[in-house]
Amino acid sequence: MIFTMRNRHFVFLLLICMTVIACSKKEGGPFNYNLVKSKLQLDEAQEVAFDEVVDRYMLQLKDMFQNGKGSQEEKMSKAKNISALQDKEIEGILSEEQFVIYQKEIAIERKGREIHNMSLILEELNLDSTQTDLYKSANEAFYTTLRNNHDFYHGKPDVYLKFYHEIDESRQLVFKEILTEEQYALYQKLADKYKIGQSEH
Amino acid sequence: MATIFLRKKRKKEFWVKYILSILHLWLGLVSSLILVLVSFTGCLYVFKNQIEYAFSTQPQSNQEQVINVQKAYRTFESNFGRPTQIIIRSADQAIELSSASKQNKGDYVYLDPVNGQVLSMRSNFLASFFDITLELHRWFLIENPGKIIVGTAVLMFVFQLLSGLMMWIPKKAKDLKKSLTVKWKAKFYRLNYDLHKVVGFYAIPLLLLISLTGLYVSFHWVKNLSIQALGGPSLSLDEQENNEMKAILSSEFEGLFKDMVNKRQKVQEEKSIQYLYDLVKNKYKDEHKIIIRIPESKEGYFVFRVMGSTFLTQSCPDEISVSSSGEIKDEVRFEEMQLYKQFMAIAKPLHTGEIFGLTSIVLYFVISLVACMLPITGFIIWFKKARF
Repeated sequence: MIFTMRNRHFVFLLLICMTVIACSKKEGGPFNYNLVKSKLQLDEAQEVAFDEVVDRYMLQLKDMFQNGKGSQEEKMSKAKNISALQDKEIEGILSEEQFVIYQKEIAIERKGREIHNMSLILEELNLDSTQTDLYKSANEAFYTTLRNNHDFYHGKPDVYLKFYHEIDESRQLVFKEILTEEQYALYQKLADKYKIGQSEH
Repeated sequence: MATIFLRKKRKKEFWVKYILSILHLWLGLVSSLILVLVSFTGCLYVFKNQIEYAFSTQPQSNQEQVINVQKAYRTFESNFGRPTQIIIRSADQAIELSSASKQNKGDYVYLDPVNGQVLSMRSNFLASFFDITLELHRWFLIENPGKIIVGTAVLMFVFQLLSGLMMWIPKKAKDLKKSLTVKWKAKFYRLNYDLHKVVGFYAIPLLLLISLTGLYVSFHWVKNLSIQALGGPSLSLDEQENNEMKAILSSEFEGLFKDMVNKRQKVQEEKSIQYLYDLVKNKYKDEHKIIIRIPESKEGYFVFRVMGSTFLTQSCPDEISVSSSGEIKDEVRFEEMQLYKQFMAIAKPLHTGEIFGLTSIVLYFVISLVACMLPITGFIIWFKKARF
């Protein structure tokens, strides 16, 4: 019987290990480095070095979040240190001007790209002042509605995305109304380019 | 060997009772380790706020009883950036300001409610300790599979509570007294049996409440069912026929959109946080706690959650949304909320025991200890019967 109990514990531990490994195989980080690179205008050698540094630190970050010890706060502080080391290495690869752009872009990535992207789209759409006000109001109403319904999707990224897209339908109706056909077509193109609504909660 | 896990049916024993007792044993054996850990971490977490409060610096008794939110807000803003939340109790208790986001970044600071000086920061050690305790409680530090493992074990626990209740019902009325009292002076195995059966019986109502509210947090389908059962909309946006939730979202968006457009058209003076606080405070003379959620932009709304001062209303929030110009957009009293919204507002304190303050917290602590004990005493009963 003791043998059976040991077996049960072994199977339980094995199950836990397998699930951790399975979860750690998720690909892709949270930041859009392709977009950051496109703003830097890197030459070939720089791009290779940039990718190498970013991949290495992304792995470190993933490893720290998935296997590291400590509370969420401690992990966030470790993440800050890892990111600072990454920035230092990137500084060695880029020119001074490129590094200024990198710092600006990576700060946006780390803070939250989407709201920033919506303002970039606004700039590219070249709207008049009335349209601009309505565009901003629609976005403000969109993010407020999303936040207000937080209790319904809290902790469920898939449900969050469904709520996001549902509320986005209302925002799209406003955009269709306030933009000309050409502007709306351009908006859709830009929304796709900036991956609006494609990130997880 | 098989008899260890599958005892023979007793004469005159109902089949239903027999099957329930077998399932009670099997599910108990499968879920016992998980339930002990979940209950134990629950016991630790239940006093989180009291412990954090005990380790914070509180103001010396203030003669002046006027709370100056503006000073505390300014101090925080100049030292730690824009806050996201403010908790205000009384002039004798520190105002708590935090800039914590959903990633748990940011600072949590206790400030003097009168002069706005920083009194202390939240202890990093305690914050880390309770973060880890909570993560162990919810998912064993392995988020996705952990949630399913814990949720399934709690689902089994609910079944065990109900099957345990069925098994508890005495055959004859004269045995009722025996089923309701613990023989404290009895030998170990008898005492163990009484603790499992009798104490377990008394704990059933609260354990069911804690388990079900825990499932509500863990499983989206439980949340969805509960909300619908209480008259709310279905949360499944996939369904073609689910127009209610879609209608709620689109009408909320449209209402907010109109408000935002109006706000942009009218240039309005931005009021101070003190003005907004006084505005709400004057409406509620007997509140014991106000939580203010700060909007991310000046077009957004400040959301005030005002908790009542009586034993029953201390965790039931009234919600008021106020614009930065001091215009009240919405005011919803707890008693006027729809039933499912009331439940959503109190689901967390119902699960954590904060619902009636320290009294219910202590009660939940004891009940969590019972939950921790039930798998152990149950295992001993089975181990003794199996006679290894």
